[in-house]
Amino acid sequence: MQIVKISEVKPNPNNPRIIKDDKFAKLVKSIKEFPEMLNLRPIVVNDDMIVLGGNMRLKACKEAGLKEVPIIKAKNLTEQQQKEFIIKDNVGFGEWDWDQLANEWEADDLAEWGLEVPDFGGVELSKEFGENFSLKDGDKEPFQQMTFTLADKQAEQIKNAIADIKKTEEYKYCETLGNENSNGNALYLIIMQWAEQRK
Amino acid sequence: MGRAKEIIVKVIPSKIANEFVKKHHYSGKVVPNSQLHFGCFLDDKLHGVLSYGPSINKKGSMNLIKDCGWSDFIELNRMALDDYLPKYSESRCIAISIKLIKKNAPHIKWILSFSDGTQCGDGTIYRASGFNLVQLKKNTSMWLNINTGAKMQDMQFYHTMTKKDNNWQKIEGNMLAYIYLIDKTCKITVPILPFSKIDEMGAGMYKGKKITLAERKE
Repeated sequence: MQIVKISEVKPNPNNPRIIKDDKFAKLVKSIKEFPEMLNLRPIVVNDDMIVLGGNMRLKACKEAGLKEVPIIKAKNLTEQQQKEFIIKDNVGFGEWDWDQLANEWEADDLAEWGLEVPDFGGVELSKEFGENFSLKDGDKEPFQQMTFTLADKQAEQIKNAIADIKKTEEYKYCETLGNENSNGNALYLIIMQWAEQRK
Repeated sequence: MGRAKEIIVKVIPSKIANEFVKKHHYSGKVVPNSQLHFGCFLDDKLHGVLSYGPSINKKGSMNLIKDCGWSDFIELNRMALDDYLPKYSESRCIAISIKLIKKNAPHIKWILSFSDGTQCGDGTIYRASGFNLVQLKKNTSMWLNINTGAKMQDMQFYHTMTKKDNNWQKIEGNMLAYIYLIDKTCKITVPILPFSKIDEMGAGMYKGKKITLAERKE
């Protein structure tokens, strides 16, 4: 293991791992609070100082303001072996024993350290949950939704026109063709009136 | 199958299902038009949700089956299980949900589902559950913020990003479509792809990590 300037270590651009915001924040916090952890688990780099294991830790170290980091050089690896290392270093081969964790560890600590702890106090099986339901059968209903992109001013004009026409007598007797959507019916009436004027 | 046999699957309200999905699905998002939600219970507690609903591109999806009617199929659009559930739970929950669909909605002849090979996986569970692979294509619609890890789809990205932000990059990946035929007489109109195609296309992914089927010895 050796200690090098953080600027000498290059992030791996092909790293397939990503990290969510909250987990990254926890990793940064964890490095700030327990930097000794890095000596026990240094960043693994290849001969060109490109990270093979610890891309997220490197990013978090930079965020935490560290100027130097411990590294281990994985020398003489073929390109294939390097790719294999990147994946195998991240694959979780084991599984958590949740009973053991629940009995021996504090759930808050586990969550703080970045472990996704299942919510054991969640929804309980209830008699209200059954096995029966129905799904609509038959052909497509004769209704459809349409979407348009409008400038804010255009949208406002249309909203105003819809609101205005809803106040009229014609709207009360508008042909709905079975449609119960009031905005759809109002818009249809506006269009029909426009079409009438063009005749 | 072990303890997976003990899982009980029930229909649950969307509110409960959506809360669970938001918390446990890798996307953190629900599909708004989901209309049928199954809760997967073990030791009397909810540990998984399967949400079904009509496809967003229903007309396009109908073309995947010959003479498909408007209400002949449904999409499994979210599956989220927590880590408490043992091995084989996914297949068990899918099998029970299909059994319940057969019983309660006998007009449903087939089920469609997509696997997000950009961020999640290549559909191991669907293959184990007897689904056919019918589509494997490059997905170029996802954006990633390299600083924060936040992700967005094209539509949301172009809607939200009004000025150039160099922190956002396109993510390369794949999208896989799977079909399960409840009615075995249905005819799939597109070629059914051999699962080996996944490795051929370099589309292998498991739990968000790029890994081939061969490496998994699947």
